[in-house]
Amino acid sequence: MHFVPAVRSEWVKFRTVRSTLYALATTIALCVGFGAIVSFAQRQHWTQETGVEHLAFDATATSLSGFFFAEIAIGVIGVLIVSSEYSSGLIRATLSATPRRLWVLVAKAVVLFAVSIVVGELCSFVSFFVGQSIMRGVTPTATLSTPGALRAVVLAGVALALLAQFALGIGTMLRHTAGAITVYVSVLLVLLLIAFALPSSWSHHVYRWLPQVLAEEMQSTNTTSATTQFGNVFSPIVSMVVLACYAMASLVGGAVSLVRRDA
Amino acid sequence: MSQQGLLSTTASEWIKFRTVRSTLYTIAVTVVLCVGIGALVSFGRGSNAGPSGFLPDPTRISLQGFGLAEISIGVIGVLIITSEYATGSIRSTLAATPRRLWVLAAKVVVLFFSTLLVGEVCAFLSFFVGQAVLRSKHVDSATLSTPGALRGVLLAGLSLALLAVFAMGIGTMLRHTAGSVTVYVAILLVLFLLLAALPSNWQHDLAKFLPEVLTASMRAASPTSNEFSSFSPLTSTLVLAGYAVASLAGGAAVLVRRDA
Repeated sequence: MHFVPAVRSEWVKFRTVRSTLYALATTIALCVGFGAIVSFAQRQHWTQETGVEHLAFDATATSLSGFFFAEIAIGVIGVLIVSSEYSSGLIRATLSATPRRLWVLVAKAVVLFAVSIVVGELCSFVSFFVGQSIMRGVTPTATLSTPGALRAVVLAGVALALLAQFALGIGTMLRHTAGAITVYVSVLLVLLLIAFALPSSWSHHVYRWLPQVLAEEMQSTNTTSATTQFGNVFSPIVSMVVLACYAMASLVGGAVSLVRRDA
Repeated sequence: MSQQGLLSTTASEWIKFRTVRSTLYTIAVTVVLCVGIGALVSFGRGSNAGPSGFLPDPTRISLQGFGLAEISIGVIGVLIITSEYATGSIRSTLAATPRRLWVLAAKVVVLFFSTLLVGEVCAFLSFFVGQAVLRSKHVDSATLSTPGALRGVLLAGLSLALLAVFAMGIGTMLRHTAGSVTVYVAILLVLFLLLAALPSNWQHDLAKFLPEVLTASMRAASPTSNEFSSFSPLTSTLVLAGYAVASLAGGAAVLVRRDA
């Protein structure tokens, strides 16, 4: 099979599984829903908060709070697009139809990227507008013309697409749904919790490199690198480049495993 | 096969659990990572303590690896039931034991006692290794006779067993590995991270009910070492056990009502 039909067949496989649609719908609903809850909470408690909390308040980031959920859900989709073929045995039919194994991986990556970027941008724009309209009139709010807001909203969606590719690479390396999801979640969230537990002189070195921190900084309205209580972080654009490198490294690992190992 | 009693059902669940290589691998990885991260955090905190060598709650510092163990033990809890749905072996299981609740009870018994054992091994190893590291740094450390330390270590192990049962309930309700692991992780970690986005008085009211805060409170030797207002260790244990029972009850209802 040539490359274009390979992409088309991956698209058919992706689109016609009900669990994909459920997972995507749940992703959007949870992401927007939690962003709305957090925005509502900020609205309710604005007058009781201190001046320091008011200074640290970022209306854009608040409306994008639901991305924690979306990051997990999109990673599960990225893992499943390949690991489900191994659990059902379908991978053998796929590789018989397209003996150039790299094309299979590239076709999956293309389909996954296209879907996850659309879902990601949908999540971020809807979360942004819903969150801002909830907070309007009480807290300071942002519009897309607020400095940094449009970039933050766009990059929040890109972060999801990059994390999906990262998860696809893990799934291709491990070939096992439960194992791959566990590794993805551990890399994303557990490393973060461990970094919190380390002394600050240590966490200052590793904090900015964590995938979760990179994804969060991509949603930041700051243009330059900022300083947090856990140390310096990268600017949004540099964070995106680092996260893209992680995704690429994970895909290369997956490609090597796919080409070398029996399916 | 003739109808099985609870004892033989438990025996067959034990064989299924014990003879899958992935169970053993997962448990081995859990213990190694849990103890290793506990040692790493102890080393880091020990190296960075002030000249007085003061450390808040050395017991809990040595048990920091449990954040990771909680994830992998949950995956074991989910897989003990969802893997049967993935392969279709659930149909043979239910044909052999038509009393479906017994199947669930047998799985709970096997899962609870094996994860309790794994949890206590993790807890005691992490404690002894972590305290040895702290002692070598000449900073505050604990022994099992330090007030609250033995309770913190024992409850840390128990928290893993309760979380495993909680995860199994989710798996029984959802019947799908990926979905169940995701829901488990979301409840455990994402809710916790989301808390930071909420205003401080909501944090104050909600934090103590989160599983991650409950388990942290169970591991603490002194209640003041928690960053959130939390329940006492024993109350936290009861609340977490309540979650596990509720999750199992949901799983039982689904298992009895729905086609397999």
